[in-house]
Amino acid sequence: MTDNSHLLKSFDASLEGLLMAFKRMGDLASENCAVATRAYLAADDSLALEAVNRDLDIDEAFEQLRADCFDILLRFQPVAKDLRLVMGIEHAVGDLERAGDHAKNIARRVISIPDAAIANGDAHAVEELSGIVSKAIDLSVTAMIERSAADAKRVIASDAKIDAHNEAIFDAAMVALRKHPKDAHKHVQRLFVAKGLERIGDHATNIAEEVLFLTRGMPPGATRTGQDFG
Amino acid sequence: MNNDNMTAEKTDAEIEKTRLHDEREAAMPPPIKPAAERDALRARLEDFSFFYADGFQAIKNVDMPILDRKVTSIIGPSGCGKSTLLRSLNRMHDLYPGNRYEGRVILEPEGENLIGPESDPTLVRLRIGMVFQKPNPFPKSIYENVAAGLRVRGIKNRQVIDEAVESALRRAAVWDETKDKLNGSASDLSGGQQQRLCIARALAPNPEILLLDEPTSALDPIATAKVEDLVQELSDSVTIVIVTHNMQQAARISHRTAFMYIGELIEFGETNQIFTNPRHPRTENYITGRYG
Repeated sequence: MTDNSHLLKSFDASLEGLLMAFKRMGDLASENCAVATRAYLAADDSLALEAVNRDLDIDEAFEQLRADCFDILLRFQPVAKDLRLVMGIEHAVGDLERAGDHAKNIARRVISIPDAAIANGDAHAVEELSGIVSKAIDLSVTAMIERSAADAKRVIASDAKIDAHNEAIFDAAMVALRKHPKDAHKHVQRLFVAKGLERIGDHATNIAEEVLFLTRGMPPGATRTGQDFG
Repeated sequence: MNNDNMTAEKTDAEIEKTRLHDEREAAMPPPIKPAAERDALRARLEDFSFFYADGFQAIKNVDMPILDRKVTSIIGPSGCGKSTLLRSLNRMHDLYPGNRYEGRVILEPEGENLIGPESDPTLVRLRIGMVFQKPNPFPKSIYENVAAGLRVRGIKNRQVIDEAVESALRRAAVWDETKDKLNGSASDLSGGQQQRLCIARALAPNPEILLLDEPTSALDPIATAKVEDLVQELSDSVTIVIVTHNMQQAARISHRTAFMYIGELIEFGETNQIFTNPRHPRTENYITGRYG
């Protein structure tokens, strides 16, 4: 046999199904990060509610994917690269689920605090951070599906950029707090939003580390600088 | 009293005592030794090849360690030479004329070459026991099945044989099921019991290495589980080499795994490493089911 097909077509079909479902869950998590951020920036309650509800879909996908992983483990007892892939996805869906929770928490702030919108001057930094984080989630999911160590490394490299953005937002908020203490609640909300996005970035990094493990067969070792902000 | 006669009587008694002592010693199960040194060798294959009488080379230049009191499993597709390799270790191929070994199979720590002309195949088989795919008890009583190897060893004392039979049956975890019918026919036992009886028969002469050729392929899951547990327990006292088509079984019970393909040893390593992160693409293809 020269191609990479499994002797059991049902195994290939199950694995393919698992990867497709994982991609859909990744898309949901990435999209919800963007939607929650947009809702925050626009102080849009209905958009925020959409993000909160979408998290239920992410939770459902999490439960289904875990069940699918167990099903594959039970039916096929995969080994080597197949075992690492299934276990990698089983771990990664936990990260996507937590990423979804952070997005949901951002959206909830929008709903619970009517004037949560931030000044226009600060919108760009949060929007940019959100864009980098969504891309990191997308790329980490692609890296898992393609078993691409190169993409995983790009995700890990982007974590430093995410941390730097978060730190810059923090510094700006501190300055604004001193200048405009009456707007303290807005600046504090912004810190929470930025921190939530930064945590979503950490989950993308976790997934990327899983990818390094599954492609190399050994733990990736230290991939973070230990200088994560906050 | 004549001193010469006294000396002669004493000598006879001493001879008998010594004989009994030797028989007891030969029949005694090996003492539980301290935990094996990490990766201590029990045997090693050096540039080992095997040719059938028609010239077909079934094993090609294999170098492989067999670690002391560890379970080594040999896996690979049908026809890869794994059973041929196993059978070479106790000179089973000598039973057919024209078969030929090359290289060396060194038993440690003595350094004896098991396939060398100086080694007696019958003695090798007493030191290296074998259990086959299908349970094959002799058409005799349970007792006589286990006693057979002891008798080949020259042990005649009934009490010594009784003790050794019980010991072997206990080690093979089949004593409780057979102790009340030792004189009953071995063929009346269930398949799983028969296989454990065969393991007891192989254990009775206290082999240094126990070879198992797909020992559970004819057994149901319950009997398989008993044999697998037994293999784990025995590995405290005897070195085990097992051929199996069941990769989950190899992953469960062995410490080291060898993957063979078309007579060659493709990869040898810690079982955990072989089944989670094999080094060779052929090993990975085979164990992940991508290879016929």
